[in-house]
Amino acid sequence: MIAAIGLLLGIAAGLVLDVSVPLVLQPYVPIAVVAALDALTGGVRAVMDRTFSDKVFVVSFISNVLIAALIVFLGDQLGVGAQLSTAVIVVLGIRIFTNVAAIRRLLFNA
Amino acid sequence: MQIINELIANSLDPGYEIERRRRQSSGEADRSNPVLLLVGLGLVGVLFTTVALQVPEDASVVSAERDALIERIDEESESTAQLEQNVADLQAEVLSIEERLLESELFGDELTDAMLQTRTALGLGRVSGPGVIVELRDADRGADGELDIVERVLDKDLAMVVNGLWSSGAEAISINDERITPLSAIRRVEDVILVNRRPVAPPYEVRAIGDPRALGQRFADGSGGVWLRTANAHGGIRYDITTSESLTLPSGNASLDYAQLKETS
Repeated sequence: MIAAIGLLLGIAAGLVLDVSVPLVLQPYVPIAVVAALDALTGGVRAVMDRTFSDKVFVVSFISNVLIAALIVFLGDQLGVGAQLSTAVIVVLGIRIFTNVAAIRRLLFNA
Repeated sequence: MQIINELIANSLDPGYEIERRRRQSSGEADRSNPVLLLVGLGLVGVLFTTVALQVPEDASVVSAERDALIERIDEESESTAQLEQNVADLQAEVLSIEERLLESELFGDELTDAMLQTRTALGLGRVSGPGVIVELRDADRGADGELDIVERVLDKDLAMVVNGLWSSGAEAISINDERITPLSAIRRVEDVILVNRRPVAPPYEVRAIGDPRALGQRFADGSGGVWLRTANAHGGIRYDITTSESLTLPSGNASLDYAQLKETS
């Protein structure tokens, strides 16, 4: 319940504030979204496992986004930004996939 | 491999498990912190909304840039066409003035003739007369819809056709309304063929003025014809040679900026 309210509040805030991402940060936005999705699916799975902790969720969300952006930034500086982006996407993608698969198993017992 | 296995086995953040154990061992109650959750999911919402709003904006920026570029290209082509018309008009004017001046001189007619011949050979001024048309087309697209490099008409093919026509006695040549002058280059950039630095698109129509019977025959027997038959046999490039009683070729542009005639006395 609180989670849904938080999400709705965030969406409303995003719509009202109409934040436009500065050009410098734009390459990191897709990575940030994937990292957020990873934290989100992890959180949902933890809820279903009855191990959810809001502290862990919030910390993992923020640190995931920051670390993912940092890795890509580092890659850009080293000239391997595209490759490191791919690496981050692959790792987070696998995690999202397995987490969603676990949620599916818990939900449908299949 | 080890890394990927590890990743799949521990896809859930280990933090949740650690936190659960800590709570269990310390006997803490399962209390949650609503404010933290609210802030965390609020951030997620802001992020997603921002991105969702950003994507269409980016797309519209890109398409607007493209439209602006197309518009600029159209404008520039238009002004180029206008400038070319100006050049043609001025050239005609110069010609008539020269003719008028030469009329009064002794041997004026001969000089006029010589000058006109030279200008035509240089590719200046529209010319018309009988000749042949060599049309070149890429090979038929196969089942995959892709064209191999050997199946395309290349700059080399056009250059060989032009060379073959000159050597068969052509007096003036154009490719798709681009007149071939002594300063013309035929080259390829990516998949586009440039003649006189202007892009030309298939099908390529090479027009040549000359004795229609002899020109077509000599071209077909000469190096140009051999080249085309080889290109047809190897890549399936299609070509067609037709004679015409009346062809009109556009004026070319061969103005010199640096080369100066040295007086020979």
